[in-house]
Amino acid sequence: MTWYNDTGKESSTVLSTRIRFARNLADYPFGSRLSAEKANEIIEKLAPTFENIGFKKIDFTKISKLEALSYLEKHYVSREFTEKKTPHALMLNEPCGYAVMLCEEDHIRMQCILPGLALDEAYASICKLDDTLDSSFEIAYNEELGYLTHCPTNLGTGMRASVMMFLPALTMGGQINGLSNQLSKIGLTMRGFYGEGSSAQGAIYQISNQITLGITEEDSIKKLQDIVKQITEQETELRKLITSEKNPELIDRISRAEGILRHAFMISSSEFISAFSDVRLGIDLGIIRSIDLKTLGELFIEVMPATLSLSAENPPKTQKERDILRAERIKSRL
Amino acid sequence: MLCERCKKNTATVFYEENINGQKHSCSLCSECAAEINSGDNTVGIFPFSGFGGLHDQIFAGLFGFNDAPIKKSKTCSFCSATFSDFQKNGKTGCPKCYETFSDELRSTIRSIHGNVKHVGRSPAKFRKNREKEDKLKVLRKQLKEAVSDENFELAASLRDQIKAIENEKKEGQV
Repeated sequence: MTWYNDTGKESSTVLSTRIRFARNLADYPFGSRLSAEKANEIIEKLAPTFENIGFKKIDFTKISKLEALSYLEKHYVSREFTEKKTPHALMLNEPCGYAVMLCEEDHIRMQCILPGLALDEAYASICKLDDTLDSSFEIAYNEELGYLTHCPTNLGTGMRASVMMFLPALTMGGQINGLSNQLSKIGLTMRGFYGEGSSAQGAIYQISNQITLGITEEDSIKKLQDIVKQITEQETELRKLITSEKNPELIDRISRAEGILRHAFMISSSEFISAFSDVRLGIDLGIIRSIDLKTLGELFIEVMPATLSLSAENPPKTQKERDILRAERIKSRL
Repeated sequence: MLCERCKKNTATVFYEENINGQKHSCSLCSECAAEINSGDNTVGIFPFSGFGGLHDQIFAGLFGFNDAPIKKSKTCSFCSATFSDFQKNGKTGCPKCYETFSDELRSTIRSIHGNVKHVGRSPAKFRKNREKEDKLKVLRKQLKEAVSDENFELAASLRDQIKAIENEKKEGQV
């Protein structure tokens, strides 16, 4: 089971939870000053430790661009990682929610992604992996600055805890900008679906901690958890409000979105995300009863451009062919 | 001060280096410095390691300074990064850069995090020490309270506990 094939706690507002630790080996230069030879040395040194506990190694210099992009769509790697020219590898243990990037800007970027709101579970899991690493390697650390990272923005805990939230009512109510400003004042940040610099499609946002130095992992997680709960309450209240007014426009929009998913002959990925968002809201509001959250959630990654193309027997050659394939896939699953 | 090289002219060019606490310095007259910069003499004068590759950086901009003493930026002994490299891309070169440029980085770190002291997880070998430090903090606070409450019996017991932990820490360091 993977984060995108399952639903978890608070599934009406939370798609997934991710915790990432940035770590570096003490005796090597960081990413931008790392030679290809040294990067290979690091990968060879680290990979067996992960392989011994059920991870598989994916050498990113040997896979196709499409495969690399599919891992990006699944949130296992960063965009920078897919564009790197020097040796880099992904260590993956999907059933446990683990994805570890080796030789990204930091030597080790390990993350645990779980469905729904699961900050405590993801934290416990990633700590276990961190302990394994700590017992086998000399990790760059100093008592004043904590874990030493390529970029000083990650110093200290090296932790980024992030929750992917689905906030259609707050988006419709025009409250996202205000929320984003409030969050930045308390050391949290709100970003689009693909993280840094990406736009928010389908009312999906990532909320994560910004500060990593001078705050413990537990405190940082608790702060995020409290905020996610507050946002969930606001979103839920607002959803009640928009339906209690017997909003025919909203019902029409949701029903049309369902129509697109069930009957369209061609669907682009942005059209899908927009319809996905409306249908997801429709399921939560009880307007749509014939589609369940789990099936819809599975489609979310399955019909992303690279993942969709990879799964086809005859991969589409043009965008038009891909949009036709996407519509067929959605129809067959709903 | 006389030039360390010709021992005749007054030194007007000063180079100072502090890498991981190891300080090195060198004083030259402008003629000797210019001669070195032109590549006529690149060995033997500087006692410290790793200098050869730094000539260009150290003497860049030398001309024009004439008699004014100059100080040049440090270089990380492990990855050769300079602080201006950090200023260009906002990223350090290696873990040791944080020691080499600790003074220069302090304000940047403070502006990002508002703090410069780590709390939270640490590798196992640092963990015991941290636990002791945390315990000491609590005990010292309790001691202060006991003294202000004039509870001297408790204060004496707390003081003994503090001493015991401090001794353990000292032994650990040896």
